[in-house]
Amino acid sequence: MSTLTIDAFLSELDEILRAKDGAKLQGYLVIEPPFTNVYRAMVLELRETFPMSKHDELEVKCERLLPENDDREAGGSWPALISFLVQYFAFIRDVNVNHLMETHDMLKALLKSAPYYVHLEAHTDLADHVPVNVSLR
Amino acid sequence: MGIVVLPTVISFSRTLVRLAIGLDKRPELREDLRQRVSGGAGEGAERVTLVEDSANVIREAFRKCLNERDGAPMGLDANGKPAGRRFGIYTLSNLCMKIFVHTGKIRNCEQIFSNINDKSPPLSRYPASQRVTHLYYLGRYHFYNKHYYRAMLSLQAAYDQCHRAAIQQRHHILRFLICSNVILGRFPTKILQDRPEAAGLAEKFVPITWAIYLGDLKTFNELMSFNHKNTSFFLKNRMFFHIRNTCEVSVWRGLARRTFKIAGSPGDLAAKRPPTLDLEDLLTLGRFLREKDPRISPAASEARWIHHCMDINSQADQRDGEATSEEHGHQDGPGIPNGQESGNGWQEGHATEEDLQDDHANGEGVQDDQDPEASVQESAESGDDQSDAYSESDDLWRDKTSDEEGWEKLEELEQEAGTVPARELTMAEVEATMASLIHQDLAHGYLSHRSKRFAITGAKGKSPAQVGFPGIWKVIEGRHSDEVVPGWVGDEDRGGLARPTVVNLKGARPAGAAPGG
Repeated sequence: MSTLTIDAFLSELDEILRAKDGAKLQGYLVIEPPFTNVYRAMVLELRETFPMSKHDELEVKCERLLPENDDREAGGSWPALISFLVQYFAFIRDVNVNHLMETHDMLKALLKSAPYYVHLEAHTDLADHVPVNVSLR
Repeated sequence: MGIVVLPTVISFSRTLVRLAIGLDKRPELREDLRQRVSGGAGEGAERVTLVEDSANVIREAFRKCLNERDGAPMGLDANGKPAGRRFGIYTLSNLCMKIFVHTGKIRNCEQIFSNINDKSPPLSRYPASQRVTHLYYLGRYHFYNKHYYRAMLSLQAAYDQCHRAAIQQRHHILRFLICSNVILGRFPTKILQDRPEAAGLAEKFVPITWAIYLGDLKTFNELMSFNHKNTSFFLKNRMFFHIRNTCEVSVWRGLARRTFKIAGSPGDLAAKRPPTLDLEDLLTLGRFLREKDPRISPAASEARWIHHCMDINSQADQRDGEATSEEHGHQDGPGIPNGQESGNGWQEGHATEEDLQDDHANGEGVQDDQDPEASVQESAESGDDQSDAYSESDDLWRDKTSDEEGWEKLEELEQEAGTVPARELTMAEVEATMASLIHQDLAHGYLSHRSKRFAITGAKGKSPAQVGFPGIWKVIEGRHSDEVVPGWVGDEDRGGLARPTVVNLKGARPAGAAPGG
């Protein structure tokens, strides 16, 4: 099955991220059913082409369609954000409102994985070792 | 640029809260959770409830917003709005608060308020809806902690800033605002009572205000009994015990004032004799009002239970009986459990005299209620073994509070006897009450314990009643005029380094270096 909807969705997300439009991003990342047609189509594509076993392929696709920017200040995606999006896709693919407990747990996990820091993974260690002259007086 | 994710995080959090609270209200859906926890968790694993778990996740997000380290002065950007991730602080904290209040764990809000106090930009920079919600929860938190003045300040600000058309929200705020003010001695006027958001509140609170004003102990006790029709409202909103415990003082003040007006002696300015109130008058009135107390039955049963304990045995039991009277001394009516849990207790229904006697002698008593039958048997068997009262330290103590048979006995006694007068008000109690009023500045003067009179000082040329019994609100307001409300960050709190705050040096960099991300 083709992944037209997913591809279109991702390329639109790319634009949003480059524009650093947080509000629009929120509008796109819908989690509550009932889903509109677009999202229903996307869920079908996900179940067909990217079930749980194809997690890595999904990640690769996201990385391809949401390329990172060298200049972080200019917006765009970053590794933690890709993981977050993959988890989002997994959520809408698997969510079943008849199992509210599981839905709750999945949403909790999704929220926990939200990336707040752009540099967290890459530069944390370096930041700790940068010598500073700080006067404590 | 983690900030781009923040609106999404907020929207997900809102959904999570709704889901968590919804699940909390439907325990049948949580059945599989219980199995999961008990099956998989290790012995040391903490069993956090579902909603608390959700609150923790949102709290983490809140912390990440609070700990934004972009170095913006006062946490504000060039437009004076909260910079970076800080704009999410109050939205997320309000969501956490919603969970805590729903689960009745208001004390969990403390850490959040403390963090906000230390690091948040001023509240005034945030949109009205966030401000109002925050102040509402802050007011409820202070109310829960019995800081009624702070609660009133927060709730009043929330009410003032809440849009006029938001009737539902204003109603919620008003519930607690009126309650706080009544406790502080300030009553809602007709103007407030007639507002649409005050619907239904006047009939709950106004009777209490009248009882306070008139010093009507009887009506106050009626209103604050478990049988009264308004009680479920107060209990549901978790205000019942606050009102009952604090307003009783106000009622006594009103009663003392009224007694003075009826029967007090005006004194003699020329002869330098101050206006006085004879405490005997207050005692008489107090007794009269208490006798008409519809809650007479439990107090009477309480008295009988004490007598019962005291009659059974001499000194050993007298010590115990006093302890019993202290424990049971403040129980009221239907609050007493009806002994359903003592199912494994005494087969014959109640202890015999010898059994209790032996309990004391042997020092075993009924220490665990798990097998009271066994201990009865034991003491019955070793009935003749009257060991020395000081031979073992067990003799000195008895784990009375886990006794279940006591409740059954109480019920029995209640059913047996008819009306017995309640334990009478004593002069000692009246003196103690007057002393406490003086101590709180609600009565202005001094007590003469010898002549049992309360003398009003400083009444030259002014109405003695006014001087002797100043208005409650005036007294309290005077005491709190410089009150600072913790958890409410004002603009002045972030000006310069006036407030001591925690300074985190992790993001420090050499002067002249480029700002980090």
